[in-house]
Amino acid sequence: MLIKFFKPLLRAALLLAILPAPGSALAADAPKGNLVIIGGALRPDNADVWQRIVKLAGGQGARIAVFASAAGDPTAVGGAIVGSLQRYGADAFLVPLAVTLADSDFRKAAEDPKIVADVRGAGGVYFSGGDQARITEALVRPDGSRSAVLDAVWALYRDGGVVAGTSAGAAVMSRTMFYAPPPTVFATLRGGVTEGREVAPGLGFIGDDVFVDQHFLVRGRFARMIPAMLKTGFKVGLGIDENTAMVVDNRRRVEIIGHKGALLVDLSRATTDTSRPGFNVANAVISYLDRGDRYDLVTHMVAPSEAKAGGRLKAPTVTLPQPVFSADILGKNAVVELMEQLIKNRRTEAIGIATSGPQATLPELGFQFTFSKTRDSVGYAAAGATADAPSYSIFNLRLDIRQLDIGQPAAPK
Amino acid sequence: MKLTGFTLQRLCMAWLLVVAGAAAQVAAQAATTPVTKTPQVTVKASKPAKAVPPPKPVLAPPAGNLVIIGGGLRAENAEVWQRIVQLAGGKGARIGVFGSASINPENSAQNTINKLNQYGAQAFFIPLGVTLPNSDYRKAAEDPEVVALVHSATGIYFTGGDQARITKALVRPDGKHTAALDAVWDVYRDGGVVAGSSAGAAIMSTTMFYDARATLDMLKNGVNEGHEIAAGLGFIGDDVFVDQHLLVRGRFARMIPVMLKKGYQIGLGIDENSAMVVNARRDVEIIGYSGALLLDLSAAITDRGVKGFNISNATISYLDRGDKFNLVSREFTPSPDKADNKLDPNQPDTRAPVYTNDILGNNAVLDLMINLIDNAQQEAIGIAFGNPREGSPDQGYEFRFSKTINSVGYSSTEVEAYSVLKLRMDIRPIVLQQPLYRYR
Repeated sequence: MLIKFFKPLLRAALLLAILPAPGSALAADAPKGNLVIIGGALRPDNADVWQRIVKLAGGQGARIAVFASAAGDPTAVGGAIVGSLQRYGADAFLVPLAVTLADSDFRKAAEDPKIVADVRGAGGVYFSGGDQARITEALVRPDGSRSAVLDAVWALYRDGGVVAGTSAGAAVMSRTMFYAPPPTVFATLRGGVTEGREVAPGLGFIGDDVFVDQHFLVRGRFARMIPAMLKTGFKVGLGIDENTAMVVDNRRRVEIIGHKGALLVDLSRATTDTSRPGFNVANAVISYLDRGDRYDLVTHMVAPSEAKAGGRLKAPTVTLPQPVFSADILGKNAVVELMEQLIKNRRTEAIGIATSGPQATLPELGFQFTFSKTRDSVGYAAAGATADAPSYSIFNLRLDIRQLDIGQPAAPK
Repeated sequence: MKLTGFTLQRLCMAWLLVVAGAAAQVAAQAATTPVTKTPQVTVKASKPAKAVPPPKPVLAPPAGNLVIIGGGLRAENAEVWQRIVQLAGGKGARIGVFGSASINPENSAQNTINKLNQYGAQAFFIPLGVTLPNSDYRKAAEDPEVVALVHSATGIYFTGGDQARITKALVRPDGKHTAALDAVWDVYRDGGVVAGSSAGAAIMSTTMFYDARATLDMLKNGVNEGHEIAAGLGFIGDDVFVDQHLLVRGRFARMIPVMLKKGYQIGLGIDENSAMVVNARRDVEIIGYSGALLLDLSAAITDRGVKGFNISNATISYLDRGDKFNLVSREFTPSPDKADNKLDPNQPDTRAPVYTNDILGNNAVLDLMINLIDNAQQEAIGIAFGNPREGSPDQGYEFRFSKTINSVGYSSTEVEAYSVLKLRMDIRPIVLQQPLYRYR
């Protein structure tokens, strides 16, 4: 089982030994620590994720510095996280650094030697949810250089500590993050993305080459990531769902833990046709990594969880009666649902539509998302455990997005 | 494709035929219903006869509990597994597991037995299933040894699979209880717990889905006894319809044609990895990962003047984990973490319009209800239609959700969770313009 599981990784390692490896970027100064990137709404009873954070910070009694800098009410939000971490065995403490903290000068706090020492002495840090812009405001100097506290967080990460973050705290993990996006994903697709407005620099713990988004199966987040990635030159994007986390280790291997999964978007072969009006993309690759699955940021290989390793789906022989169609591909979970329907199906293509809705003020416009199977497309299902509601891993579907004119969607009979 | 007058006429004709056919079938069934163990139970005209009678009114209501699980129960869902064991008497409780719904009953049951034992039970397999090799299920269902095995338990668990296999194994061809089913009822009446997941949840009501088709099909063409629906085992009583895997594609909507046809006012649909616990006072408590949808059709009406499936003034609620609802008083109690956090309609979180093109999508109805309840908007619209590349793509439905004076929302102070109570829901047929869209 183990050999089977690591086979793709082994193969990749062999390849790397022969080819000039892109992985050689993992130099001596690469961080020795781990990241735990949580998609938001982490429940206090999600032992899988909380325990992992504590373990990576050093186990029982590990010191973990909690930054509630993103929160509107840092003391309450931070206090709840400290409480959860304590319950799972950590010795957590709240860092008094936030732009919203009453009676506190956040610029001074960000350079305070006492706070710096506390962070350097910890085995882990945890960034709470809220507004990610507040995190970068609190930790980055106005000239763009790192504050002393941010340097301390980096030092902790480089020396082998864990940097965890949920929601806004996950958004800061990549070098670019959503900053003040329009209220809907549809508006982002329609209006595009401008640096400094919809997106801005994050803290970049995960490295320069991966875009991170969170609350991912919430209304269409996967779709807003693509224009942002195209605009800012990312080839790989990872979006993590709520109550779920991605653990990135010091060899840049990603493991999904917690309740659900993550979407992986690979734009390395994607193209945009500028002669066509509006946002479009062809030949993007999209994968759904379920809990337990792994992805290697260096080799770009995906591998199913141990529970699924023997459950590779055979080429489906049945054409399911259900249409492989979604009238609202931006709906919560809709993209994963559609991908599942497609991978279980003999059909080779699925279509999802996104529209702005009948109350829209602008002329009716929409987008078509076409998902298609290629020779690389593969699905896995876990046998046994929850046979009446199996969960799937779906790797390497092709995704094309193009603009549409929509007829009036509906008229009363 | 334009909808021509001819097509319309044909559709109306088809609809009328379906309605007429259904009525005829119901009448025929009522006439031929076998006399059951309790001939004193008269069949009301509005409620067509069922092959399996509900709990006998002459007896006291069952003293036991039901644990109705929406399927996909994870091994680590301690709350649900522990509750089953606790209601069966706690540590060491004997729980009989029916794998009858499964293609492979023994495997399926063993899976559940392992989990129950992991949580402290002494669970065992009950060898009864139409798919059980080298076994005559009719004999097994009357076998005194099997009956004694069931009677030795203080808890019963029905695993998932195909619910039709459960009723086939446990109900005699003439509609009467087998000895094994009577024994299960005895366990329940005497204070034991009857639990079931997925198919094992479907049998909890007096009617269950049998050979269900896609939701949109059932809205368009209705449901018929012996085809889309059939008699269940009815542990929850004859006034509540139960469905499971609730947030799977369109499940909430498929309950409505069944409820209308069979005269149910209350419908409960439970989500995956979650359970409803129903006690002897008929309190329903939601436990596990997410929640349940509650449909109340007591004030709902159907306009026969409108061609096609329609309903107005239905009430829909989302009961989140920890919430309680009483089936007798119909009173709601929010979970402790929500009790002091009623949403203030004058302080809405947002004012963005709420709309979905795919109200039947996974989770879509819940997502829409939560977005509406904490919103300055008074109504939300969801559309349902089929694949534009398949038959009658122009036929669809509009689901309109609106707030009334009774609509209430609660949010949790601990996690991101909402309860949404008493939104009005109206459904009517629509025609979609064709083509739906053009490429630029």
